[in-house]
Amino acid sequence: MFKTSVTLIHSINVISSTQPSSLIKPDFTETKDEKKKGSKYITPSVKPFKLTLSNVTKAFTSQGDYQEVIRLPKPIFAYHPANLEALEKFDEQLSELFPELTGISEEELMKISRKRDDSE
Amino acid sequence: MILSKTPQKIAYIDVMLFVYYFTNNPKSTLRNKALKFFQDIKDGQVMGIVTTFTLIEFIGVMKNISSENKKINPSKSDISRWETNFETFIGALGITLYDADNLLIAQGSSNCTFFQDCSQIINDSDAILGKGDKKWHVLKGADSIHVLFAERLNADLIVTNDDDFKGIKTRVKPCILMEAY
Repeated sequence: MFKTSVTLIHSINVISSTQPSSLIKPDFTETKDEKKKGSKYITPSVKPFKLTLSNVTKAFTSQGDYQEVIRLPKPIFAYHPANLEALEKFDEQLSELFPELTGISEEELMKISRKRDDSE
Repeated sequence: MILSKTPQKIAYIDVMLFVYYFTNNPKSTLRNKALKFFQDIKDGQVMGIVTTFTLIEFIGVMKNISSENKKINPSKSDISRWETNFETFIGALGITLYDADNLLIAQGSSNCTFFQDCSQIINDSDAILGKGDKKWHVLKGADSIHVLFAERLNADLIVTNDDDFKGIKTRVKPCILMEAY
């Protein structure tokens, strides 16, 4: 029952979007075993999807209309929504965290970028 | 601001964006544009990803800046501090960090074709004549490694200020900081 509900949610995503690439997002419904293997991303089909009885049935009985399931390695730091004041807190402490970088001018930054670029 | 739980785009972040932001110079255009990008990540508009290769590059850039400014070899404690602070920053923003070693073999493949794939990315890319500097920009070796990592991590964008990425012909698209922000 749980898996069936998950499949239906994916199908609704496909129907409601005209931008297939915007649907690429983490699937947080993975099981514990799947979490051990790594994060799972599902890419939607690019072919037009019509809301028909057969498609709805297919969504309930299979993984839906997807091209492939992409498995990624387990990250060292997983995605999570950012802390609300993360940037503000860092802004206040940057000169202590990275004193070597404090006050570097735009010209110096461009020079560093170019030097790094030339060395590649 | 309401946070989106599922960011619409996945962005592979170039190391220089972190350097720009960390300079903390409010007069710097690059710093202010990097700040806007990180605000997008904070607001949940974009999901940021990096690899341990990004961290290695960050340490390299910091060693370069520090040694040139202080005229001494950076100590191990300096390097350790840079690593810790970098990881704290990406942790606070929810930026995903992947182990680059785990990306050397493509998903579903048993053979490592990493540098063969990098070579293909370089061969397929175009040389682009810069509008401002009138110089030809081409994708280079280390750049192709980042492009391949971004591809293998299913990213939509590579966010950078390096015009060399403009000519890539991959599913991942370049997002040039100075033009997009």
